[in-house]
Amino acid sequence: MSFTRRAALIAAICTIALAFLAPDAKAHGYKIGDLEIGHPWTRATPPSAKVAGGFLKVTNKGSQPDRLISATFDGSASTEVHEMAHEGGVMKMRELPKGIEIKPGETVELKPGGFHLMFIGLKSGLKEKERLKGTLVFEKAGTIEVDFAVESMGARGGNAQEHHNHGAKTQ
Amino acid sequence: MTALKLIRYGAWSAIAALGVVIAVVLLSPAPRTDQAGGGRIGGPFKIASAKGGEIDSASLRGKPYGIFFGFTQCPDICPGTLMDLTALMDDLDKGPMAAKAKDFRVLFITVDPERDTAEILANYLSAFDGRIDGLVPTVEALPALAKQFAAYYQKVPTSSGYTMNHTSAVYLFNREGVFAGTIDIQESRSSQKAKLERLLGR
Ligand SMILES: [Cu+2]
Repeated sequence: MSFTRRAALIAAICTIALAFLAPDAKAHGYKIGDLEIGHPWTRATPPSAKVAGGFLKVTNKGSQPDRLISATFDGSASTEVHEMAHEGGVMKMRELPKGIEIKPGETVELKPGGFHLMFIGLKSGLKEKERLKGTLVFEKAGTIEVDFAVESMGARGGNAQEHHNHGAKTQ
Repeated sequence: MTALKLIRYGAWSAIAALGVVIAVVLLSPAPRTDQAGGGRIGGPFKIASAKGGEIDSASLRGKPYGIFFGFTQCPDICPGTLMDLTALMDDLDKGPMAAKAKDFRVLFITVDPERDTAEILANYLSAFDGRIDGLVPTVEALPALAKQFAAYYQKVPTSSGYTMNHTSAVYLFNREGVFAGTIDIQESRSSQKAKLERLLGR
């Protein structure tokens, strides 16, 4: 085997190995202080849509509670922290002015049907596979810049089982 | 660890089962009275269509249809339900029900006529199946219309404006225009499909 051939082979093997080792492009995460933030995402919007939901996971690895108190999104005029609940056949949504608490050792998931960020006044439609910047503001850990990955219009996040468990959850 | 997990799954299942029971009880709007034609859900209507003109219940005779109350500034349930319906119709189009599925109509009635103009609604719905039509009732007509379908909606103020709470179910009507149950976004796709097939099959 010639040197160039061997070099090409090694390069090819490295590329393949890297492709497997590199973190899945779809799942991304961040750390700020004691908080781990998993995969901020949103959904592609129908034409003329003025709002979209923002979703992510936050795990508190520390010993003090923290709160997600606000957020911003480059694609919208404003962003609010909301909670949605399905009660007695009615979809109810409300703003959480004090944000969402993340207790020490706990993971809070913002997902369809539950807690979410509400992106209000979209500047343009969100298209699948785009990424838009935003920030998350925590009471103690501070502010972190994140990318929101735009998933398909029908994306529900997680698997169906999780979704059903959540749907049946009542307070 | 595994024992804990087992307990957790057990607890979740119990909660889920309880949730299903509660949902079934709350979501079954007087089903028995409909058989006799005295159904309390439905009745004649005539509402401005997002595509222009009006859609009236008489013109739907002979066609099974679904009615869904929502609004375009809805982050989840409305686009989610419209996606579900689009996927369901696509699915039916590929099966033995294809010919009957052509007759099916869905009417998406906005509960936010102050912001949802005909143009916005028509544009929004262009992302979904063509059998879904948008309807824009007048602000004055909306309360009575919602009452006719025992649908609930309410404005909820937020710091940048307002959002809407609303009934999430899709009301189904058979070819005679008689209420024939509901489908909901929280159901499995197979259960939704079975209900639509039953509706179309008659
Ligand atoms: Cu919201």
